[in-house]
Amino acid sequence: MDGAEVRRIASLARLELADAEVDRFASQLTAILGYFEKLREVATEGVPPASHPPELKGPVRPDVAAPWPDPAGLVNLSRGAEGEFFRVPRVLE
Amino acid sequence: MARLPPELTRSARAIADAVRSRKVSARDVADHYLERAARHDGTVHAFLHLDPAAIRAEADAVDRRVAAGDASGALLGVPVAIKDNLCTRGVPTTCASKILADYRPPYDATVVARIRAAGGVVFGKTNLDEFAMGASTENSGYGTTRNPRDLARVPGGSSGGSAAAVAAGFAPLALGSDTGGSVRQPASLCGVVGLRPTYGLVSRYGLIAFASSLDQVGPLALNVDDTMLLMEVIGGHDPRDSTSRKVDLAPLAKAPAPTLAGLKVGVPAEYKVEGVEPEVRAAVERCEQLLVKAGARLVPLALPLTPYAIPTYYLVVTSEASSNLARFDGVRYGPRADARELSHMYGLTRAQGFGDEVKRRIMLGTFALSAGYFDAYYKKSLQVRQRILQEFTEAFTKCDFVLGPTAPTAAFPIGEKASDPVQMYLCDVFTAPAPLAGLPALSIPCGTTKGGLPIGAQLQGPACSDFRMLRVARELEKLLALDLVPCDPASAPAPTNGGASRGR
Repeated sequence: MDGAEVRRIASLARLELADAEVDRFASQLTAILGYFEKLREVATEGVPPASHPPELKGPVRPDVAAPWPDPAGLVNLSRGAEGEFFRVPRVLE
Repeated sequence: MARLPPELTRSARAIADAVRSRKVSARDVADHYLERAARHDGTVHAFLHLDPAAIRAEADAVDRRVAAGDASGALLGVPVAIKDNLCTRGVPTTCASKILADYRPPYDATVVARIRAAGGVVFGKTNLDEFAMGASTENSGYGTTRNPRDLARVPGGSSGGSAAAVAAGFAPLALGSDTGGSVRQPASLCGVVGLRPTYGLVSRYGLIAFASSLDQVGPLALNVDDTMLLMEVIGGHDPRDSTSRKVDLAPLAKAPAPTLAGLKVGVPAEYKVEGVEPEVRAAVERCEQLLVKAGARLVPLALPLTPYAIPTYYLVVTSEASSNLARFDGVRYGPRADARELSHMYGLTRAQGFGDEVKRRIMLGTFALSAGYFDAYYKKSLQVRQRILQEFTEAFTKCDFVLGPTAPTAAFPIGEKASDPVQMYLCDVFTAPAPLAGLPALSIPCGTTKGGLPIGAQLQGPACSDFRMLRVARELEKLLALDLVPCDPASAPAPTNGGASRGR
């Protein structure tokens, strides 16, 4: 993974990296991905992917709304709390 | 000076019984542990947050409750240290990350609420690798925890603060979380017991998510009996966690003790490979011999996918983490970077708030899930995960439990693996497989190296065999006859470079 690829991935992940970080991560991520290549040794043709442990396929319950006792307390955790809203910087220049 | 009788400092169950029968007050118990922490935690740094006044107030409330005639509650007056990725109402919960500096959750995690309901005293928040990503607690944003049995060494991770707190006698019980070994490996390195329960047996409501298909809350204690005590309190169905199993815990917890005679103990060839320290191997083989002497039968096993569990695990966790950690963007909680435009604010907040290992994992996961790489990395890992699951299912048709080392080595020196992520990942070789299959696993102390460092043995069992496994472990613990008491950090080998670094 080269510097350009690290920058592309960091941008997808919303991480603004410093130049020195890009170089360090490029060599570390390359080493880690190289290690992951080991998985190619395992035959997996036709094996269904397991995203979760078994026996837990989408348990459902009635969708009942329960009021939260202190909604303002939730909003006020934000540095941008304004009334019942979160203020953020502009989305478009 | 509050001093507990020695027999109480080695058993949480004995503390609860003594508070119940008013032989000792919850306040005395709290004072005893607060004094120990005050004396030694400047060096060990197990806690990120410890509020003596709040703890004394909670203990006093327990004493009033007992005085008023209500002596119910399995944890009456028992201090329980809580890993700092579990939400505690109004009390800082940072995940050892700068991005959650000063976050005070508006609610308790279900496990915390259950501890309070059982009369337990919530006793501080313990250090961890940032967002539970690591095996040494060196990745904490607020300084490394030292192993109280050798202050130059790591306590393991990510629940290193919880394991160190129990080992050093700062609290008789602690909660950790285990995604790929984060309860069991620090338990092993600190010489305490740690259980990773079956996936879904303990509620994760209020556990700050890292990798949702693997995360599980688990108890740590000095001995197996106390581990069982805490597991009985925190386990069981919770409608607030959609992955919580609808299993009635009571009959599992009350089932009769299994006898070791006739027990089939699986011993995989893959757990006796190069890379496992000879002293670790010898200590685990001693467990095998003790079990055989007690009438158990060793079943040779092949688990050939064992070496593939780490790459599988790291692809699954990084992918899930990249998604789970997207919520930390400065909008709803935590510090917010100054920027005039939204995506720039996100990027700066996250770059300033996350440490290196978290950034690495977010980027690895983003990469593995990105267009063009999804099939080769993420999907491939889920297919290998399926095969690992099948391998365990097959193994448990031949044996009751699988025995092996928890970690390939005893505690390693601080700094030894810190700059090499792949070396650090290899610590998880024996702990990563069980979470991939959703299985319970337990680490118990089984001996020490010549240098006095603890060694842990791991039992793994089929889904929902947690309490049977604990009972088998309790029998093995008796056979091992180790002296399971808190250590004295003041007489442990000294740190090589002064006191623990503290971030706050």
